[in-house]
Amino acid sequence: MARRSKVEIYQAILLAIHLEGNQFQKASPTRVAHQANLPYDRFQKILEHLIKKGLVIQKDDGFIMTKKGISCLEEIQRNNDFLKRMGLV
Amino acid sequence: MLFEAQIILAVLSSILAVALSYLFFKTYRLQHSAFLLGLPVGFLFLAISSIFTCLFLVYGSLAISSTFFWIRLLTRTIGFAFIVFSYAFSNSTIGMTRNAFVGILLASIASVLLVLVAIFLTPPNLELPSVYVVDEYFRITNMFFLGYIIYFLIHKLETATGEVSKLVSAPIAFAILWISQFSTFIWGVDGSLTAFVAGQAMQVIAYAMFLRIYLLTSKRQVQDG
Repeated sequence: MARRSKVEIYQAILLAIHLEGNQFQKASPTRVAHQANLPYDRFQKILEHLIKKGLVIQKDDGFIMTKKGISCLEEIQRNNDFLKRMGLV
Repeated sequence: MLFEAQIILAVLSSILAVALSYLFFKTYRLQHSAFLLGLPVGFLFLAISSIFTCLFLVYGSLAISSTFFWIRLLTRTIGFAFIVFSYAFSNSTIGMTRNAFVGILLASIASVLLVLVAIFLTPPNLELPSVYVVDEYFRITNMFFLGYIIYFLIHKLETATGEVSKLVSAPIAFAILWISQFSTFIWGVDGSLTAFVAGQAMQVIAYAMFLRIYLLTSKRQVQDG
């Protein structure tokens, strides 16, 4: 498997939080780390960064995406789609 | 009438190329992959080239017009070279760093400046080849660059799985850009003004197609996976 870029890792985490949030109203960190295919310590560092940027907020013992987080995920997906259509990925 | 059409097409080309350069820069800023820098820089060079096409058309009767033509040729070929660069490195396992890219960019700008210095400082008795003679070599180089991208994209289409229809627009747009260069090449050979205008029109169509590809992806909801 090819090495993932930073953006791809962020996308995987945000998407996992989004899907978990839709299903259970909040995302469990262990499940998100597993879905994003990341070691837990690395996932926690990235999660802290996402919280600091206001993309994700803590809710009880889980996490949910903010509006900013959703628009960031949309932007990443749109960007990927554009690059795919241009034949660059 | 044909003259006005040429000016309008040149202005349209430069506006569209600047818009594309901005959109590709936005893409780069999000992705942070150095190989993507080739696209905004390439389209910016193409925009500069279109501006000099406009200047060449307006000031065609002045002695400086050949200098405008030189800049137009150089910036166009450098622009295409940068776009090819992005495609060539998109599949490469060799990582392209931002510093290496800046080095290539500076070397390209230096080459344009060197040509300008050569034009202005060459003694009159040592005449440089006419820009209208070398024009054809530049066009052939451009067609070669675009041919590489078309081949690259067709190869990608052949190996693609899933939504292949999404991947068709880009090779078509590059093919139209190739025809545009071929058309201008014909103008260089037989001086047909219609070929020149057709080349410019094709270029505008190709840029509009790239813009359309971006707009097609601009309105979407978060999708699962």
